[in-house]
Parts: sequence; structure tokens; C-alpha cells
Amino acid sequence: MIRIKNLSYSYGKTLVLDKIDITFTRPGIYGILGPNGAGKSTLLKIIGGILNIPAGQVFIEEKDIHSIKHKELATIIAYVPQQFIPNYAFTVRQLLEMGRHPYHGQFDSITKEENELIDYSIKVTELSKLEHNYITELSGGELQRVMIARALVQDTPIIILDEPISHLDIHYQKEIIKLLRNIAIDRNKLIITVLHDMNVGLNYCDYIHLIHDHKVTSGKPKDVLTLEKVKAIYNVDLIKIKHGDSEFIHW
Amino acid sequence: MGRKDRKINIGITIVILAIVVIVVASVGNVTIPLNEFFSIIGSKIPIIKGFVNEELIIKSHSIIVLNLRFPRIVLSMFAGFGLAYSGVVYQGVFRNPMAEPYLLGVSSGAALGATLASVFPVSIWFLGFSYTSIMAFFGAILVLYLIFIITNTRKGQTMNILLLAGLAINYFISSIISLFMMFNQDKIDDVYFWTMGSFKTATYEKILVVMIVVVVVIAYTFPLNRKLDIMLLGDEQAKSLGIDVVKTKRKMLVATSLMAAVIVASCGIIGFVGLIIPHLIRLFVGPIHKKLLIHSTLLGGIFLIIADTVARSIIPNKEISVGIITSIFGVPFFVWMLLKNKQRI
Ligand SMILES: Nc1ncnc2c1ncn2[C@@H]1O[C@H](COP(=O)(O)OP(=O)(O)OP(=O)(O)O)[C@@H](O)[C@H]1O
Ligand SMILES: [Mg+2]
Repeated sequence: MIRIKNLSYSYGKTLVLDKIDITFTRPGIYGILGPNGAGKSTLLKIIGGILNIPAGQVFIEEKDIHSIKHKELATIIAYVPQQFIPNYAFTVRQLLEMGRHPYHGQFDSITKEENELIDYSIKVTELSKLEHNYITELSGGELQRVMIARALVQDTPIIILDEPISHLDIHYQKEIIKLLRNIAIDRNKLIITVLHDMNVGLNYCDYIHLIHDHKVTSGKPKDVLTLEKVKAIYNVDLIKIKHGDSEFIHW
Repeated sequence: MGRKDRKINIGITIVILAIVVIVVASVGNVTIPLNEFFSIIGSKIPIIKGFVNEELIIKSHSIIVLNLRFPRIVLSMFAGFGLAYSGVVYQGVFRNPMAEPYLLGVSSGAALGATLASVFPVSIWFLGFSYTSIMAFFGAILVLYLIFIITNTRKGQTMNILLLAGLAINYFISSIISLFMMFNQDKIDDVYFWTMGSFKTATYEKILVVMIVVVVVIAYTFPLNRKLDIMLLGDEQAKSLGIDVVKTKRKMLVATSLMAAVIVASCGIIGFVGLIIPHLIRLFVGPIHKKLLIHSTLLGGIFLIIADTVARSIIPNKEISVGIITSIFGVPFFVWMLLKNKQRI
């Protein structure tokens, strides 16, 4: 569980988040939406312990993130960045093994169970053929799946993902979203994902936090992502499409 | 497309190191047969002593081996270990293939220290180190510290700032040295030859100091090798995988900088070892630091032993500075490897 209380964040003089409150309570998928530059990545980096904030604003499992050691935090939260540019030729498997680092002492090596977990993560992200390729020689979408696989290897109760499907073709978009849903439900994980696709938000998320104008609007997808709100916030004309029980919006 | 085969074996590298040590022991102005070399060494080791046939030993050979050759071999080996090791660590911490303690201030700092020592001479010795060496040590530490402070206050694109700061400070210090030299022209030779590096002054005291520092620093930092791997992915990634980036970097840099400064004090400025050896090894083993550190360290030792043997024996009765040898042979070889191997480093 994550509780954010009265959180403000600025880069120098640029205010990004202004006294926002958010809680992520139960397992499930939480969608973070909002226009470019709204502060979605910033919020994720704060939760992931990458950006430092003053004490008393973010609590993970009731503990102030301030007082949680890096290593411990990495066993609670796995972070998939919006962009990762590899410069060194590690193999996919080597990169995945790094996901176990938070659990290891200086002299521990990968155990049999950990190898099985890595094999499993490779399988569900359909990376078997690429296992021994260099991460410097992958396509954008392949690399994105590798980073998601590593979050699975890290095996944390909370996974935060920054636009995890932005580079994926429709096959993998569907598979990854289904995968996230499954692990949220079957393995009781709290999944927070930044998205730009309203329809994924509408149909696959349990809850939405819409960031705009330094503030956040939270609620059930259908209550937050209404045609009027989205039109106003994104300044774009939209139509609503109904198909069975599902609703879609499109420009 | 699978992983290219990148295997070199630690056992083989150690065997090569051993062979090199043995072979170079007999090379020099005076050729000393191997069995005699071992007899001389053995005669100084308590338990083995009894088995050594002392009649084999020629007295003058004994002096050459014990006072000249053996200390040089051991000192050059440990210097090679330390220089290559610290090169790998610097390149990892700064995520920059150009990083290396000598380029980043150790060499210019040491040269400044040596210059000051010769311009303002005092007669002090400490643990086998001359006043010049001690000044070189502090010069190196001081300049490294200066460069880190400059880099630290400009957060963000640390890598480029670091190299630029290093370069700028190096030029600055060269000018200061030149200035001193202008007014002390009689000292130019001393300083100049000191900076080019030599193992001529190897003593057992010196060896002991360098050996302890190298062993302790490696033992202290080697367990962090997996953190170095992860830090290659960038600070953000490293943090999210549970690494205290600032603390880990500080630990590694302080320890290896100290080691580099002790080495420069012991044998002067021997360039390029920290740069070419890690690169060469990286072409074979890839970016994983565990392998990179082990192989680079061993090869660094091998390389410097050979370089010093060449330096002391290529021209009869004349010694060439080992720094010259490492650059003259090292650089063309390095360039050739770079051209030959198109793989990314
Ligand atoms: N390191 C930084 N230094 C200064 N300003 C920054 C920095 N990172 C982000 N910003 C600014 O902060 C604001 C929020 O950035 P953020 O990356 O959180 O946006 P985002 O919601 O993730 O956008 P996008 O949808 O484009 O990914 C932007 O205006 C951006 O210009
Ligand atoms: Mg973003």
C-alpha cells in the first residue's frame, strides 16, 4: 500500500506537482494518465525512490519512504522506466539476473529457484529467442519487454511502470496488459502504470489517477475518463464508441 | 543470433603470469639460469632452505637476484595489478571508457609533487619511499580531490564534466610545473626522469607497502563488482535495483585512487596500463566486472613485468624508462586491437 500526502515537487523553479494526495490501497491495476509534461514520470520516480523528497509525504506500507533503505525499497517496488538506453553489451539474461540484486549479499549467486523465476519471466514476455542477445542490439519493443521481464524477476509486491506498452505492437500490447492483469489478480500485486491510451485505462484499469495542471483527479475509470473531462484537459475533440459493455473514446 | 563466445580462462592467465615471472628472471645484462634463480630465492625461504644446494649459487648472481631483479619483478607485478584494476573501476564508476586515474589527475598531481620536492629538497624517507615519492603521493591525492570536487558541484552530465575538468587541471598543472622548471633549470633532468617511471628503486620495504595497499584495496572493492555492473545501466537503474549509488561510487573511487597514488609514488608515472589493459580484456569478456577485474588485474601484472624487463635489458648497460616502453609498445598494439575488433566496447 502506498499513501501520498500533500506531495509537492518542483524541478528548480518549475512546479510539477502541487500538494497532491493519492492512495493505492488494494492489489489491482492503477492507471496514471495525463498530458505530456503533466508529471506522471515524476510521480513514478518519487514512488520508486529515484527522486528525493522531504520526509512525511510518501509512505510505503505505512513506512516513510525516507526511512527505507535503497536495498529494502528495491524488494518492495520494481520500476520500469519510460526510456532506457543501454550502452553496454550485457545479454538479456544477464540484465534479468540483475533483478535479483536486491536480495543478494555480496557473495551470493543466483539460485536454482531464481533461475526458474527468470525462465518464467522470459516465457511470459515471449523473450525465449532473445535470451542470449545483447541488450544493445534489441528493438525498442523488445527492450521494453525485457525491462518488464526484469520487474517480474524482481518479484516485488508493487510494480510501477512508465508507459510499458508505448513501443509494443498490438499483439504485445494485449499480451502485456493481460499479463499485468493476471499478476495483479493471481499474485495480489499492486501495479501502477502510466498510460496514454484512454481505452486501456477505461477497460483494463481498476482505478485512474488523472494528472493535470499540477493536480490529480482520482476515481473509477468511467468516472474520471469522461468525454467532457478528457476533451477539456487534452484540448481535443473526441467521440465515444460503444461495443457491448465496453466504451471507447477516439479522436 | 546468439551470444558470441567470450571465454578466456582464469587458470590460463595465472599460468601465463607464472611463466612470465620465471622467464624474465633469467633475462638481463647477466643471464642467470633458472635453477640458480630458484636456488637463490629458495635459500632465503626458511623451510625450503635446507633443500637448496648452495654450491650452485654464484655470489654476485645472488646479489643481482635478491637486490635487483626479484624486487623489480615483484614491484612491477603489483604496480601492474593495481593500475589495471583501478582503470577498470574508474571506467565502470564513470561509465566512460576514457576514465583512468592517471588521466584524471594522478599523473599531473604526482609530477607536481615531484617537482616541488626537487625544487624544495628535504631529506626524509618513509617506509622506503623517498621525499620525492611522498610529495608525489600527496600531489596525486590533492589533484584527484580537486577534480572530484569540481565534478561534484556540477551534477548531471558528470562524465563529460569529469574529463573536461581532468584535462583542464592537467594543463594548468603542466604550466605550473613548467614555471617552476624555468627558474630551476638544473632540476629539470631529475624531475623529468622521475616522471617517466622506473622500477629501479624497488626495495623490499616499498614492495611491502605497495603489496599491502594493492591487496587490501582489491579485497575491499572486489566484492562490489556486481554493483559496478548494475551501475553501468545508469544511476536511475542502479537506484531502483537497490544500490546506494553515491556511497558505492565514493567507496570505490577513494580506495582505488589511494592505490593509484601509492603506485605512482613507488615507481613514477607509467601511463596507459590502466587504459589499454581493461580495454583489451573487455573485447574478450564483455562488460561483466567480475571477469573484467580479474583478467585485467592479472594481465596488468604480466604487461608491466614484461615492459620492465624490456626497459632494463633491451639496451646493454643502459636503462630505458618503463613508461616509454609501455607507451611505445602499448599504444600501437592498442590501436591495432581497436581497428581489428569492430565490436562495441
Ligand atoms: N530533470 C528535469 N529537470 C527539469 N525539469 C524536468 C526534469 N524532468 C522533467 N522536467 C519537467 O517536469 C515536467 C513533468 O515531467 P514528467 O517527465 O514528469 O512528465 P510526464 O507526465 O511523464 O510527460 P510525458 O507524457 O511526456 O512522459 C515537465 O514539464 C518537464 O519539462
Ligand atoms: Mg513521462
